[in-house]
Amino acid sequence: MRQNTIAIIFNSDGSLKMTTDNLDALDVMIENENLTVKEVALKDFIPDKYIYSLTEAGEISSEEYTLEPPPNFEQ
Amino acid sequence: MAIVTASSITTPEIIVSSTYKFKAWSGYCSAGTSTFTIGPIQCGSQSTIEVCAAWTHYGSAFSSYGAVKIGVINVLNTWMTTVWSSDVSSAGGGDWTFSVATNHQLSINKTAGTYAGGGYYIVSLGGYFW
Repeated sequence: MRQNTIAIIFNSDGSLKMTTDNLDALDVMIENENLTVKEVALKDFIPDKYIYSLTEAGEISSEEYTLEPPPNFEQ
Repeated sequence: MAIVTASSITTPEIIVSSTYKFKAWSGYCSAGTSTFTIGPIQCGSQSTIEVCAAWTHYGSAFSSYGAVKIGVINVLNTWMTTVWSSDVSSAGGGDWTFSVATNHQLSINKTAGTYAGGGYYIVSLGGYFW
């Protein structure tokens, strides 16, 4: 995987599971859970602004998301 | 969003010396309720490995909405011994668990908590893998 890209991993229902900077040792989980992997530019993934999901057509959709203050912030 | 199609999966490890190797993963975990598994990772007989696994929700307390494990693992076949210098789990964020299977195969699991918010994680391993 190139340095400026990440892999977004979606659950089988299209919801976001996680991202990773590399896919080493993740292949068993991806196969067992029928996950979908999409590699994108790092700058395009902004989880504090958008909620990401996978469409039935295999495209990544994003909805605006407003980050609320953490519930238990520690100085 | 533009999807990069020319994917190339590489092995993200640094061979520090003839016997010390470093591997790492990082990214975003969608929620405290999410689970994921990194592994199996091939270790050697009696590999001794430094471990750091951590995540939490956007600056929230690890002890409420995240999880941390920092320590040392020694692996032999399906057996494992651990010493943790930090071991923090939470109801909201879940925990990190480590297991080994036949032939020294190490797996790292992020287990489920109850909180819906996401956050970034890191997992790093450094040590004697041969």
